[in-house]
Amino acid sequence: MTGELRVALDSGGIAAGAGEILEELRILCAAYPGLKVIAVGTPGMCYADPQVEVVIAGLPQVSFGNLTPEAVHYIFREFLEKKQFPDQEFLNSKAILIGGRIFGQPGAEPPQYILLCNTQIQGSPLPTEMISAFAAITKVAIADNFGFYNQGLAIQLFPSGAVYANLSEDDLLVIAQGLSRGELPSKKFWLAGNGQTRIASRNCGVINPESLSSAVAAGAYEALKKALSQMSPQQVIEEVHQSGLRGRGGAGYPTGKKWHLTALQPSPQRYVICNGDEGDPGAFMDRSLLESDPHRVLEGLILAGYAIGASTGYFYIRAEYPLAIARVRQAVREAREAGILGKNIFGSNFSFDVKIRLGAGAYVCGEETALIASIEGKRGSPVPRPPYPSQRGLHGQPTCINNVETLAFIPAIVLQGGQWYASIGRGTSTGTKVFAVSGHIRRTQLVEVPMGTTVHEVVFNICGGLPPGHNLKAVQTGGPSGGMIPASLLDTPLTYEDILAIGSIIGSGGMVVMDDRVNMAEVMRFFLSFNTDESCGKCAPCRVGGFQLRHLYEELCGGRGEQQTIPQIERIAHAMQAASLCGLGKAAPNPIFSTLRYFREDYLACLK
Amino acid sequence: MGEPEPTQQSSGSDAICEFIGNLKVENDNLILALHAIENRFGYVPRQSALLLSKRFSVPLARIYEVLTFYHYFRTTPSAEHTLTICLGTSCWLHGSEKILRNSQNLLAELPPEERQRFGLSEVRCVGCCSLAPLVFAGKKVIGRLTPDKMKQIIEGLLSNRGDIS
Repeated sequence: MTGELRVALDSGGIAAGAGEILEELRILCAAYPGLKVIAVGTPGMCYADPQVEVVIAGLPQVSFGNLTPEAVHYIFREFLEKKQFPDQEFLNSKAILIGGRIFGQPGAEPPQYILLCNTQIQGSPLPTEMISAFAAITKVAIADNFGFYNQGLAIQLFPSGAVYANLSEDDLLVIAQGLSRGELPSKKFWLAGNGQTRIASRNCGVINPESLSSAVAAGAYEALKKALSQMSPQQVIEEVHQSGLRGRGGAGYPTGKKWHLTALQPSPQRYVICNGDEGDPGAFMDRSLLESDPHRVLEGLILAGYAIGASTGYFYIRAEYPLAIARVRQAVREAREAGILGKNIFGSNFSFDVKIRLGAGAYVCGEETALIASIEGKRGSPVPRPPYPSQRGLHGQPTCINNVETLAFIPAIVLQGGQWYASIGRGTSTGTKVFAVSGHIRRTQLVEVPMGTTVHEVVFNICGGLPPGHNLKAVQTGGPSGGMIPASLLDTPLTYEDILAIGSIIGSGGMVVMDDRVNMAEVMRFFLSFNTDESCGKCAPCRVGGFQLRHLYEELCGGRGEQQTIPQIERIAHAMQAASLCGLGKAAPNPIFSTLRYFREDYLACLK
Repeated sequence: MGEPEPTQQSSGSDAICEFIGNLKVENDNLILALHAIENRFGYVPRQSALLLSKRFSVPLARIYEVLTFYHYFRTTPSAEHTLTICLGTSCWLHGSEKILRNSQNLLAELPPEERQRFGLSEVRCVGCCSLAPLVFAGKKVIGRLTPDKMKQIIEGLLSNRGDIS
């Protein structure tokens, strides 16, 4: 047996027990020298933790999730050793089987393994005669899911990995008859992908994040080599400019423009900072990227340094992410030993090194000027802009701050060109965006989709909608600074402009699904307790306004609201939005306006 | 003033002096120093703040300005059992506020000497939303929490059983 078993050991996986699974597999694999058990980051399917992906020659490349040590033993014996699918009874109760993540081209060879799945949300299980029809041909099992929903019955054939979907029961029977005669399914049912396009998260769940060689084997630092040997800093900025990439931290400012403005400043010393202070509740994109592929982010930061002419970069990572910190530290150490950081990188005349700074539990430090103060060892109070950090930032020098995900796109843009990146997405929202989908959702997971994909597609067709029993009420985007997208507007494309037009923001990428049991005034009470806790207290509109709003919502939700409570809330929210010093206070009222706009009846219900 | 002095041998006065004396801190970065102290002692003892103030030549008030701004730093020793409940949006939607309230009530009913062994606090999203709602019992994460499960955890810790799961 040759190949590898990839166990997802990001902090979510570890918390779910992946460490134990890894140990169990290492013991089982000791007898097979060709078999490697590797710890990878998250493949995105957090709902399936602890999980393992099987990448072994001759076996279908599938994942098993919700594992226990006992289940691992059974899977090892049946699937790896006996080369057959685990018993369906086992797959229905003890672990889940997820179809191959790589959707192959329709091959010419007859399948050796077949997976079936009803991808309809709340669809009925496949009838047994269907399974027997395929069992007569070759080894068959029913998968828990194929990573997409609402496309009828579907089938995946191995070794090709080709997926055919939008099938009826009759179509499936025709396919079974065809396969028994050696004919492959009609290409009209062939599905090229599951709706996701992975660029930033491409190697997540694939490589060992604690190994430079593993990252290099997957293409890490090729973009850096290319830039240092063939491109001037201006050319790098030009590619990023052409890509149309916009800051993924929330503000959506064009990255190329930010770089250009910083590079313009006449100064002997400039800085680049990677903002890893992911603070929005329900957001775990940056944690996942840093834990699963730190070298990609580091490469992006080095490229940013080269482009703007900085010799020092900083990672600012929140202290609540100890594993991300550890993996970035390890990546920096290995890169330094390999000469990827330090003097004359790859023999060029570009020298660059990075330092790591930790946050200490302050949401406001995600704001650029507060973040800079925190890196300087001070309390994280924002200061008015201008001057912008690109003019006067860290230690008074021009500073460029980019979010983790923004930097994770840079290597691909440098390698494949800005035009290529700009060809993905929609309008001025180019490329892909990573979203963390959680809340009342069947499949809490990380997804990366081309911008312009609709909210509905992400929530229903990729994440499987809500658990049975309740309907969707709203999708909350942009964290406590964002807004609510009501069920009636789910067809809105995920672009900066379209989401803004309906009163929310793309934000950093947290997407929290709420069902019809949730009262939106209650949600606001919860958000305001967050905002008042996190207000730095420097400016009165945020400090006092937030406190008063919180008080009004507590009265409202406690059944003590009066007729004037709602107008009072609106008045204070407007003042806070207009007069606050930084983004935290300015944006805190956003979800208030959004909930009042779409869910005023929830407020009125509190008054009764 | 007024914080209890560290009682364990390892966090005694000499240990603090030694630790601060050996602290290697880039550019006199106060936050890095505070992280190092917090990691070593589980909180930032007042004595360490006094020593830092001398070492960095900054007023004590400035040390406390930073120290009290960030939620992560503590100025009092942590309890024997720390329980930190996540109040991220996803955990909140799955009932973490109720679990927090139940836990507060449960602890309030305990005799004072037992109650003191617990430190109950909250954190704003640790990004493990698929396990919502979750609690950190010390450094161990326990997910898909229910009020009953939380009760068992507290009872398990009370009877010093290590088998929380």
